[in-house]
Amino acid sequence: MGKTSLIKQFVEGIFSEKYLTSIGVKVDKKIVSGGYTPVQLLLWDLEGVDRYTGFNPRYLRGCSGIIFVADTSRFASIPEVMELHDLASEHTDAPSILAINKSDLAPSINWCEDTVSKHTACFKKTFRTSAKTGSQVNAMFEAMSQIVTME
Amino acid sequence: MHASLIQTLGLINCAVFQRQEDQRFTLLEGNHDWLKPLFEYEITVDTYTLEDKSIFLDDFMIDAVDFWENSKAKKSCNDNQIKSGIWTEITDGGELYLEAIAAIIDRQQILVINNVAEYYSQQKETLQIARELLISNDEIVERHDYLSERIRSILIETAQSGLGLPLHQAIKHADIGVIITNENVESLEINPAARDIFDCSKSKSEKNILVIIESLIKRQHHNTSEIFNHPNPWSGELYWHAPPTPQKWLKLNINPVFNDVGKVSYWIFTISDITRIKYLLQTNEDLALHDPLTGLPNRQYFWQELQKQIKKRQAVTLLSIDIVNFRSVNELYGYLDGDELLNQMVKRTSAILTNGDFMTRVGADEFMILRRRPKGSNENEYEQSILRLSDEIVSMSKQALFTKSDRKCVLPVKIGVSHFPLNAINAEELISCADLALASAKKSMSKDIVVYSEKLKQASQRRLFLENALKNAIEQNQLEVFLQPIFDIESKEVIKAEALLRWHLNGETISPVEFIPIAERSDLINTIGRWVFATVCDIQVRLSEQGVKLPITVNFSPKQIYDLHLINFFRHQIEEHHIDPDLLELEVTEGVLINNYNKVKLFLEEIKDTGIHISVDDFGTGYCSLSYLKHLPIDTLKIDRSFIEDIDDNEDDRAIVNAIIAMAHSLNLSVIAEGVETQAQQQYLIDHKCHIAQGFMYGRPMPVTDFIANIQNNNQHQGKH
Repeated sequence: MGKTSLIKQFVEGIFSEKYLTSIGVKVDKKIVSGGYTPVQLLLWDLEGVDRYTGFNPRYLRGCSGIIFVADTSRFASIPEVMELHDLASEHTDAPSILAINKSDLAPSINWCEDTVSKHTACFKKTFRTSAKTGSQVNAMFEAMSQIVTME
Repeated sequence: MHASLIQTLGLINCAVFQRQEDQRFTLLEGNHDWLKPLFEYEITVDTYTLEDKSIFLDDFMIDAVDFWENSKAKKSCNDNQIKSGIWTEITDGGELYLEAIAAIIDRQQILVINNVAEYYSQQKETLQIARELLISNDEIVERHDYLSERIRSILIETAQSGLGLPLHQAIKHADIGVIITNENVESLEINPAARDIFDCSKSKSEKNILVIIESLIKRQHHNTSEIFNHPNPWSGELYWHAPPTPQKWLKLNINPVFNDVGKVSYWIFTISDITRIKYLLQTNEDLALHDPLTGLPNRQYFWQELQKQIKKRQAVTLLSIDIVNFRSVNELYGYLDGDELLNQMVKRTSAILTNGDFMTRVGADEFMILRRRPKGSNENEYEQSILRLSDEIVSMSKQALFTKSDRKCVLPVKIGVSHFPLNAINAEELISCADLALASAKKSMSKDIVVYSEKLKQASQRRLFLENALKNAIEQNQLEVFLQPIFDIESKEVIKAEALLRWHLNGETISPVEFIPIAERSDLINTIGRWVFATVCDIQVRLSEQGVKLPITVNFSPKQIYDLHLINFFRHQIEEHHIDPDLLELEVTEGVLINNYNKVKLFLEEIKDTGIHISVDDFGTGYCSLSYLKHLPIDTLKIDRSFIEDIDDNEDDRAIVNAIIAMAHSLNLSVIAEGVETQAQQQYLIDHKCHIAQGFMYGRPMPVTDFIANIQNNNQHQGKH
């Protein structure tokens, strides 16, 4: 999906083509000063939930917002994100953003925009990001900092 | 101690901290270089605060503190640690891959920071490949879907003109095999990729490929008529092996194309060779979802399987298995032999499982077996099969295993059993029911297997209720010390009394048999033990004011040995009450003497230094050897009531009582018979030179005021003051 790449692009301005899977949790910090008040975001980069790693609601404790990341090149990532969204909703009311990452790539051959539109209402905002080009990455994190400040 | 502690947790490169009462931490073990940049100081001071060093650790400490302070109320007793999961910490020295563990070991609150760099890199490698393969698999699925959809559109567009050039072009260069058939599944088009997959040259009959596919579906899935008579899309994997062609795994999609009137006009077959992906996926799944030591599925895999069965509403039974005292096996034989024995135990148990049983290793010495109830099976027969399996596992576990160096060892197990949907509505509940049953089996001296029941749940709820109520029992004056006389049969005088605790809760008197184990499990025993001792000192002051000089014995829980400041507390109470320590006696059970001999010896010697006497309670029920008694500072043996009860007609009991009396006399110890209720029992004791007795015959436990009144009456009768 590119969760780690999005954070790396946002925090360090770096992108690596090589896909590196994440293990466990890594916490990063970044101060966002786009709004009236600077906000320090503590970004918890969580290992993806799949058949090898279960969903751990403990990591959602105390969170102010959640960014769910889907992948333009894999349409299956949309139902996967929605399943995670439902799981997370059982444990937190924190607002969430949908990032449809890899916008620099051609969409999956099965990509169905109608289906995506049906789901975007569950999120405060939706961004088409590219961790590779940096497109919409800062905008997305800044939006998150504004949302959490407002909430 | 620290080495065994680390071994217990199964750790190598770690730092072990002990949480102190002031919530600071002492480093017990593992002053590693990697620790310094994390905590930003030299590990030279005595205690540390670990706050604000790591955001992740701070968050985990919320759970850790909750676990240390409330764990008993939340979990069954086999959960003595919680883990944070792996996290990456960025320090000046680079990235650290860590896992924190909060544990309670020997009543100490322990925090372990485990450096899991090696495991992290192994796991990363495994998961990297596995996840790349998952993505590849998804891509193949998408390409099949896309190609099918494209062919379907062309077929519909060219419905009038029949199969033609556009279709040829679409499939000729596709790297996915494509076969198009008519409504009767007779081949119309087949592309080069499909021929390559099945190793068919152009000259070979194209029909051949369809025959192979149909026969593979029939053998490996179901009758093809189910696909072609009910025209729905079908997708599956096929295993094809036709020597000399190398074996292949194939992914096959079959999609119908309907005409204007809703009837099937074509079938589109798309086929890919997924052998490489399948092989790598399986290899990696073995690594990612299996326990590396035993090769059994790991906790994650088990959880997936259990949830899958429950989602299908499949009736299942869960056996939660725990090896009794495996920790001491590791301590005695070492870690490597311990692992070897575990492997042998798993091999032995796996051999009696039936096809479809799912065994997993969920903890160091904890296992689970999931059995599916066969459809249409008789309920009684199925339950009997579960009991037979449990019995067989237990009896097999009592047979000896041998280490590589041929040392003999037994790994007895306890089992808790729960059923879905009978006991639980979801996977989590089913596991906690099995754990509750297991906890009950572990507590029981006589039962190795406990099947979950509502009664067990109610008992557990009552335990929780009593544990909570017990926390306030002292404050709310619900506890009371009763005294039971200990009688000299010859002089017919009360020469001692035993202090026995009573708990009055909302009009009900709770038996110590019920609440003392609860207090012992929840650490309240230290508070209660101290309160009883202080109260007995108060009673001694009252007796002294009445002119009565009578030793009082106080029961001592094995758990109190871990109360580090207990002896100082005793000294302080004796001084504060200005009483003669000669009038105080501690009753320890035989079990206390057997476990931790060195620690107990030291403890009892310190007790003796205070002037307090020591007696051994319930003597004869344990396995205390003569040499133990000889070297410990003991004054009195109390013969357990169970031997006195049947002394009239049980020759074995008489032999044991005679032996204990003889042993006490030869070691110069005083001896007391407990539970004396009849003249015959009393006469037997007199005949065998045991003159001190306790039992209903001489007086039941009674409130202190009644006891004092009785003593005074008795003295008046005998003309004493």
